[in-house]
Amino acid sequence: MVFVTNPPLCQTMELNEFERLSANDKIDLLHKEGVYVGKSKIGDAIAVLYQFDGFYVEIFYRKYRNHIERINCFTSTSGIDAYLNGPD
Amino acid sequence: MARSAKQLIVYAEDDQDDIDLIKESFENYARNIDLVCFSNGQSVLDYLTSPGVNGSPCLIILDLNLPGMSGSQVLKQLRKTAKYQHTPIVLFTTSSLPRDKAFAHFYGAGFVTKPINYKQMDDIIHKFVEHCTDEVKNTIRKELYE
Repeated sequence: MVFVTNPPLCQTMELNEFERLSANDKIDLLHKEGVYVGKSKIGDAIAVLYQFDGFYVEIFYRKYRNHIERINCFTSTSGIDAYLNGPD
Repeated sequence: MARSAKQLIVYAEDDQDDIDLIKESFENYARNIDLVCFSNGQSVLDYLTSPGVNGSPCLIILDLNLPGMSGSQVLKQLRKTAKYQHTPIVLFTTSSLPRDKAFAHFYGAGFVTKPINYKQMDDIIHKFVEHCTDEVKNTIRKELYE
């Protein structure tokens, strides 16, 4: 007898799986399903933070909401204080 | 040939970085569209409902989380006003939550999640323009491809 199990209704992604995605796929996923946490400004540099499944994704901009300098992912909540100003 | 009057887009947003971004993005359409910005919900509602305002904007863009009166409250108030019952309105927000989308849909508004990169920004400006009337879209297309 073969037992066929249905996949779970809600798939979650692990941090290492997310990190293996292309930059475009990361951005598209965040835009569709990420939860905006906040924005941080240091001088002219702007970064925004999203929560996605069980981890956080930090986007550092060269030009706000246009040109991305780099993307950083982490799980610890210690890195989110600078972003906690509420959603826009 | 005389150019038709500029169309008005009203944008309520409290984040200066987002205001700058949208202003810059609409620069390509500046020959056809005037963008007027407000930094809170009450001021945009006061402007839109004041007797001195002539005509209707072709599009109203509302950030969801405005200080004081939120974008969703402004949307509800505008839909109660006969003049704005059918005006294209878009909620422009960092949220991608289904309940926020459902709220926008219930009040006959569009829902656009704020972009993360230039490609999404470009798509979003096109989506905004798509909410305008056919007359506005045709004028813009004509101008862009002249």
